[in-house]
Amino acid sequence: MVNVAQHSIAKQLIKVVFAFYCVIAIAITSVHIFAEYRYTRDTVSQELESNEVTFGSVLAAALWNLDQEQLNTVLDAIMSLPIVTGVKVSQSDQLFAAKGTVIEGAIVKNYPSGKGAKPIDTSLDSDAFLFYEFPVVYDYQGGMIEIGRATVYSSASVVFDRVELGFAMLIINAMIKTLALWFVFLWVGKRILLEPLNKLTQVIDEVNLEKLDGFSIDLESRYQNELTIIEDKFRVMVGKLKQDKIKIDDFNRDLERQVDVRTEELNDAKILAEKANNAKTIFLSRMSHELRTPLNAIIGFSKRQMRIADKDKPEQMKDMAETIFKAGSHLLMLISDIMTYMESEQGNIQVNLKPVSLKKILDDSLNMVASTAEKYDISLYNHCADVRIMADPGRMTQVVINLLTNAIKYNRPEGEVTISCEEKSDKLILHVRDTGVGIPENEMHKVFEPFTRLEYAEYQAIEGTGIGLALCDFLMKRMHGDISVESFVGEGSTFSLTIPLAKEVVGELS
Amino acid sequence: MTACANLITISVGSLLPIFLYSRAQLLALICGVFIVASSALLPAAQHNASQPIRIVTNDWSSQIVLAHIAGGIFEHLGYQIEYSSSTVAEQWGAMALGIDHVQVEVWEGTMSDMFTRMVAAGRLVDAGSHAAVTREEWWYPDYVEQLCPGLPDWQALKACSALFSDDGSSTGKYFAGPWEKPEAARVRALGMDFNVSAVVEADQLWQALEEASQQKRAIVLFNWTPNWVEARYKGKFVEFPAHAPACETDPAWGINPDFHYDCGNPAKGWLKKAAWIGMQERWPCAYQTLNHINFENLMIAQLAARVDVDGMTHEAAAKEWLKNNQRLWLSWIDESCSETTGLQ
Repeated sequence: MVNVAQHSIAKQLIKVVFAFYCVIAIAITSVHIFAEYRYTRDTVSQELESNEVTFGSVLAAALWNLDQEQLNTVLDAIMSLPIVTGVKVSQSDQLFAAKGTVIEGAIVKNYPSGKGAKPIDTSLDSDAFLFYEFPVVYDYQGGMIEIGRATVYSSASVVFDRVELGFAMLIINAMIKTLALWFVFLWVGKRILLEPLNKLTQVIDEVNLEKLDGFSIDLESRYQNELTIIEDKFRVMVGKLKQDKIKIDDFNRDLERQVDVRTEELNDAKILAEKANNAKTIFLSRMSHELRTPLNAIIGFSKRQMRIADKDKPEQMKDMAETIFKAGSHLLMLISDIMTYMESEQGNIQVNLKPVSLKKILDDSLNMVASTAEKYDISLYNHCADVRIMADPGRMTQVVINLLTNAIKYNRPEGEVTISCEEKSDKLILHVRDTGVGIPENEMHKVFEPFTRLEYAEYQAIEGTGIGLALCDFLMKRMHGDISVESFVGEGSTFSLTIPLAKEVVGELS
Repeated sequence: MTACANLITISVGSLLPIFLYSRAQLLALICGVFIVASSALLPAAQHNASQPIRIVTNDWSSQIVLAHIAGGIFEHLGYQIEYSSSTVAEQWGAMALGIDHVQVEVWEGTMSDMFTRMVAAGRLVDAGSHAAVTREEWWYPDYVEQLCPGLPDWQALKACSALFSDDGSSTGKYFAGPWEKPEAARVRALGMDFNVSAVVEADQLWQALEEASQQKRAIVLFNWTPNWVEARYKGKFVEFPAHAPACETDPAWGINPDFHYDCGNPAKGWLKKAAWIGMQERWPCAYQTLNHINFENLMIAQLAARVDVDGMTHEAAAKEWLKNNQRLWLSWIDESCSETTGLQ
């Protein structure tokens, strides 16, 4: 369980509330005490003022008659009041009589009550005294005559003495209220908040997502409140959690299955990539061989032709020159294929579609492969009429030569290669059919993959780079056409090119 | 001052550098400065002196007439006069504060305490005594001695108190004056069977005396001398145990050790004049004249009779006296004041 004892809500609540309450209680009590002091001070002042009414007339009578004895009696009576600490009577700015502690000028003097006793200067602060000065007036012949002034004194200590008990009661009252309220708050808070909260916290802390079935919560609250709402919501939430947990488990299992499938696919892809990489390695090796062979021929026959150049052997020279030409042409075709394929991969290959004569393309192509067909003793047949198709003439010728070359190379001896055409809608379908070994079913999917060759070609050491058909596929798509193959092992293969017809010649196909 | 005036006449009109002045001219200049300064101060002095002298009048005739006589004399000296009607009790504070300034009748029997206190406090000045001898005491007409033998001894009263009863009881009735006197205390201290019946006004005393005299009925009442009564009625003061100051302060003194006032009032009291402490400085001639004012018992009694018996007003009685006794009151005025008969 998480240890939250140090900063639990309970302790924070108690600390903060108690602190705030103490501050507020102190503030209110201080204000109360100040108000009590002010009230008492005002009361004392009023009581001092009341002496004017109470003693004014007798003071006036005594002062009028200069009756010192009567005056002393009156002053004694004033001094007998609990709040009075001193009283003085002056006439024409001259002190006439005084008793107790009075202020003369800025000096606080004490007039002892004994007869003939002299005043004693004190070090008391005159500001610590309250006083009320009033005129002593005498009603003489119907007119009020001021015959002197009387000043009654009280000290701040009198006020404090009077409010001392009040202060103590206020403070005790505030302390009792503070403690009582604090304990009540503590008890109530513990009862209705802290205990359920702790229980809730404990339950939440003990929640195990793996064992939600055994979960239960009961705050034992009799009334609906925020915590019971939390309790209910939490219970509902745990219920949903259970359901979601089931869904998550199902999802995880499904996910694991998907991961397995993806892993398997990735492994396959990896194998394919490895195969592709392997094919590329083989291609490079083959290319090295393919390039080296014609080059050796070109270099070798070139040296031979240089050695026999002075002899008169024109037939032998012609043969050598033809061989050099063929080797160079083959090398040129290889390099051209590779360059084209590389351009296609980089997306840089350009096609220039325009209406062109199919016959010219086929004638040029057949001429180009005629010598090869003769070499392999293959018969070439063309059954297509001349139509105009929308194609790049160079690229289309390249594709047809490629198909014818393959049909010758993979044909049987004394086999045939037949070109036929058919029109479907606005397209022309050109079939190149051989009578070769055919393509096995399991190798049909890699016919148009680059750098891939049939096992038969490898086995029979048939020349080739493995990019020809991939390049054909790419070029046909660039010319808005298509290429497909149909093959039967032992009977031969038929590659079909689909190419849009030029619009002005649609319908002219015979 | 005359010399100064002459010297100023010489100097004025010849203002020269100071080193060119003669000694006489310099003296004249100094005198001129003095006169100018004096004339600048004079209005203030005149202002104070021109304030009216307030003379206290009480509620018995002789005092009021004497007050107007004194006022007439002061007016003759050129002073403004106001009369301040006051009670005996209130007059002291007024004089002590300078509200009132002159009292021409200060009786020892009723006023000595306050007068002495005020003088001791330095608020009043004793302006001298009249020749008159005063007494305030229980008094009876002579025919009462035949009804109550043994009078004027107070013991006779004690024995025949029933004669003075007006309700048939044994308790006699004493007509006390309107002024506060310790009569009840005396009755108690001396063990006399009398009720003290204080009148509101002095005239009520004389009315009761007149009625009793006509019926030759026993009566004892408050009376004093000098008073007009002695000029019209024959009678005597009751002789109580002789007065002593201790009688009023020490209970052990006298025949009754338990109470004060087991004695009579002073038998030969003085009659003084009192003045406000500032009078001498402000109204010097009035003050000096007040000191010289002097009346005898008969004079005062006759003045009171002119009012109380003859029905004259106080003012008229005073004017009559001033007119008929001019030589006398002029003799009370100092020569220096007589020369100017103005403010000094």
